[in-house]
Amino acid sequence: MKRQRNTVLSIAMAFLAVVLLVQLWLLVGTLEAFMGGGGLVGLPAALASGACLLIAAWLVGSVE
Amino acid sequence: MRSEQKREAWREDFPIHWEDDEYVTRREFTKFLGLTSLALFLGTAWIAVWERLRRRLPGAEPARRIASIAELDFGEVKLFRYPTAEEPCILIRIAPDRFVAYSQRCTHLACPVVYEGEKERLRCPCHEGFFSAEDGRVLAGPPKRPLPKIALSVRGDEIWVGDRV
Repeated sequence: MKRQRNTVLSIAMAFLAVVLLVQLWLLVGTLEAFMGGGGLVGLPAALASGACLLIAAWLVGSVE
Repeated sequence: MRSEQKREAWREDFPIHWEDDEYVTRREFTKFLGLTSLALFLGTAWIAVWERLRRRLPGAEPARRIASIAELDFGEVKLFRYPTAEEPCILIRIAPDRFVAYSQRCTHLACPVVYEGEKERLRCPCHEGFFSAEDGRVLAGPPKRPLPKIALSVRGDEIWVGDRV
């Protein structure tokens, strides 16, 4: 049982790491576009990052 | 009695069973990852808000005169600062009847670019980035973004500068 719990937690951490990488990529891309005076990419990127945050929150909540 | 007291002492120091310890540590780390996700989202959202605000704010400085047409011959440049004293810009006469102006800061790492008249391009000496003098687009090198173009207008025999394009 404890081993299963640790396995589930490890899987959740792996998914979280992927979600964080996606959010980091969104942040860097948005900053790059902002600095370059490009189009309005902030809002779509923020929405995507928000969706990633919801996934991360669900993952954290599921291991509590 | 003494051994029981000793056992109680270590129970206080190490309240979590060894097999559960790894779980508690990983759970705390997972919560930390969740907070990191929140921080990344807040960063992206802040940039989105600032982007919207920037488009709504009025221009930093009104148009002003920077040179007269007679000051520059074909192929010559003049440096000026716009819209603030911290923003170096370069005015170029690329044709007898055509003037262009750009921010002088290379879009790679902000080194000042220089004009190469014979090749009709702007060169960044720091990392050998090249921009077209026609429209500021990147020709070669590490820069990824074109040079910001400065809007110009000719009033009589004077050249005026306005907001950035």
